[in-house]
Order: sequence, then structure tokens, then C-alpha cells
Amino acid sequence: MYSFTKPKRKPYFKEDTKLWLIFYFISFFLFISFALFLLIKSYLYTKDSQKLNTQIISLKQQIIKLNNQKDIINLEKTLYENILVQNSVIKTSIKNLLDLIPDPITLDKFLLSKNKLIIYGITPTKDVYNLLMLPPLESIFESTTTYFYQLPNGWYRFKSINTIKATNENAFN
Amino acid sequence: MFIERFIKKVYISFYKDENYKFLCEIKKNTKLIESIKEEFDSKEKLNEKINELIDDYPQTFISTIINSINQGVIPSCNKSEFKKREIEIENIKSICIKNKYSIFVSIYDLVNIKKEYPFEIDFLYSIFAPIDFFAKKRNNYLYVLILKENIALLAYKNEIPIFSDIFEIKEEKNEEVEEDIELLEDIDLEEEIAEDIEEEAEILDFEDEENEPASLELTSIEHNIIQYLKDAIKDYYENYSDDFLEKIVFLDTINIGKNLKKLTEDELLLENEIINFDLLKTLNNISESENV
Repeated sequence: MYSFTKPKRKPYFKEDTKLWLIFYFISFFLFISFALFLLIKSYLYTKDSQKLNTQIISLKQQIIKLNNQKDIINLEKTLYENILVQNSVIKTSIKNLLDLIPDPITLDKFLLSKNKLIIYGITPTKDVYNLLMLPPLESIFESTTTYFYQLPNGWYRFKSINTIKATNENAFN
Repeated sequence: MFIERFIKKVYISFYKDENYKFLCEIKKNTKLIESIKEEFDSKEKLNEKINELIDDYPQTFISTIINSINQGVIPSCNKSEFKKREIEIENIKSICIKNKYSIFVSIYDLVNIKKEYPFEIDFLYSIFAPIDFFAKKRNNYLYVLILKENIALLAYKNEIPIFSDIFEIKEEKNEEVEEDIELLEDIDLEEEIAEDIEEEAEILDFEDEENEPASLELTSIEHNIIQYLKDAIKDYYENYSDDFLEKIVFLDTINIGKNLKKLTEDELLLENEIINFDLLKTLNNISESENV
């Protein structure tokens, strides 16, 4: 109001102070951006770890399921192996049984169960049967009962029921 | 601006009055932090000091006054008023204050003072500006700013400065001394010795009575001031106002002494008051108010 001159606009800082301030601001900016970067990174890591945790939980559940399945499969495998063994036992038993049958005797059919063998067949005479067939059967089975029916041609149809105790199921071996 | 709160602002004011008076006020958010008051014998030392401060503080504002006689106050902002008073508008620069009155200064003096210093002066004031800034009572009051080399007068009527005048003391004081020498040459030797003895006796008596070693030079300044005031007040009553002046307020920057008060009462029959006036601080205050 009173002055005949007006002051020129003056800088707030000296030139070297300006330079320092620029450096300070740059370093501060870098510091802030690095801090932000770390914050974002840590946030992402937390998010990832949460995801991984849920994955771990689901995987653990899957593992439990798979373990259960594995147990079932193992059980099935055991069963299968048992069946295989049984089959081979039965196969051997049948083979052994067929080896027992003497030449004059003809078999019609036979029923093989766990501890019972029922044989249907034709024998020329009772003696042939009693001499050639009965002794091996009696040695294997605990009880052997044989029923004979005479055929018109004089031969005999027979039914032999042989039983064995459960523990001796591998008797045919 | 927000940043201004944290930046130091330096207000420097100086003026030449026999030597260079200098005041530097370092402020932060309008709070005064440091104040340096100095006087320099040479302009080089002043320049050195100010350049040092400018280098340290970019926000440095320098102010000074123009104390040449080619300046004044006009109680109007109208250019025709200048013409009425036979002031050539082409040769002056004026500023209008509060849309009521103007302060003007010679362009020649303005350019000269700018050229005089190697640093840039931010605020250049007329010698009447600090008086006007300070003056609170503005009706039939006469303010007299006393410097060692100048006296500036500003008289107010109805809130407006209607009369201004500026005197240079130094030259007239020298003239007086020369006149005294001439007079002494004319006086006979016998009379001279007799008068000298009488004068010395009077001086001794005066010292005993007053019990203070009053300087003869100061007394002559006081007499000069009274003489200027007589002329100025005569001019004031004849050409500017019919109302009587109520009071004279001396704005004293040189510790002129209490004799002036009694002298003014005796010679001018006017109530008066002497105020120790810090011109440099006032200049800084004006600069701060202008720099908002």
C-alpha cells in the first residue's frame, strides 16, 4: 500500500536446499513405494497362505478319503488273493479228486463244497468201488457214506457223500 | 500458503542518516525469532551484511525510505490536484492510500536510490509513509519525524494528511556555523574576549542550574527544529487549514532530549509529546503488512 515498488516473487528455498529436498523427496517416495510394495506383497502372501491352508485342509480330507479307499482296495485285494488261493486250491482239489477216480469208474457229476464232496457216478461193481475208490476217500474225509442203485445192465450208480471238518479244508492238497 | 508457516522470512530495513542504520528481523510464521540492529559507517559494510543475509535466506525483504526533499503528500488521489499544486505528474510517482490521499516522490530520486545499492530493494517508502502508518490520532495533529539529517512533517485534518513538508537539517546547520564564523571575524578582539568570558560564565551557570551537560550542537538542532516548525506552521495556517493544531507529536529517532518539549511549549504555545520512534521497526512492520 505504501511502497513505490512491489517485491518480486521469491523462492522459498535456496538452490542447494532445493536439490537436497528433491533428493529427500525421491528417497521418501522410494521408501513409501517400497513399503507399499512390501505391504501388497505381504497381503498377497497372506492371501496365498490362506488359500494354501484351505488346499491343505481339502488335501488332508482327500488323503483320508484315499486312505479309506486304499484300505478298501487292500481289503478287496486280500479278498481277491483269497479267492485266487481258494480257486487254485479248488483247482488242485479237483485235479486230485479226478486223479483219485480209477479207470473202471465213470463220474456223472460231483458237487464240491467247503467241507463236503458229493460224487455221482457209475461203477461196474460195488467191489471195484470199495476197493479202488473208497479207501482214498476214507483216508481224506472223516465220514464217507455211499449209496448204490443197481442199473438194468447190472452196473451200479452211486452217490458218495464225504464230509470233512472245517479245519481240514485243504485235505485235497 | 501452508509451507510459509515453516519458512523463515527476513525483513531488513535500513536508511542513511549520517551513517547507515540497519535492522534485520527474522520471523517464522509472524513470530520474531531474531533481531539484529546495527549501524554501519560505510555503504560497503551494509552491502556486505545484506548480501550475506540474502544468501542465507531466500525469503528476504528489504525496505528503505527515500529522504530526499522532492516528495510530499496530497490530500486527494485525483491527478488534477497535483496540477493545482504545480506538481509535474510526469516527473513523479504517486501511490493512492485508502482512496483518499496520495504520497508522491520524484521519479529521479526513486531511480537513484534503486541504482545506489547493488541488491534489490523490495519496498521503497516515502519518508511520510512510516508517519502515516504510525499516526493514530488524525484530526488537527502535527507529526514531526526527527532524523539527524532531515525533519519530516505531516499534519492531519479529518483523518487525512493535508500538509506535508521536509527539511534537511545538516546543510542549514553548516550555514549557521559559517555565519557564526563570519560574525566572529567582524567583532573586535577586545569585545570578543569580553564576550567569550561572559559566555563561558553563562555556560557554567547554565550547567550548574540544569545539572546536565547539554550539548551545544543538540541545542542548536532543537532551535533549528523550532525555527522550521514556526515556518511550517505559519505556512499551514495560511494555506491549508483554519483550525488550530491540537498537538504536535515528535517522532524522535535520535534521542533529542527533553528540552525540545519545553522549547516547543514556550515558542509555539502548543501541547506536544516526544515519542521514541523506532523507524526501522516501523518500516519492517509496514513491509510485513504489505507482504501478506
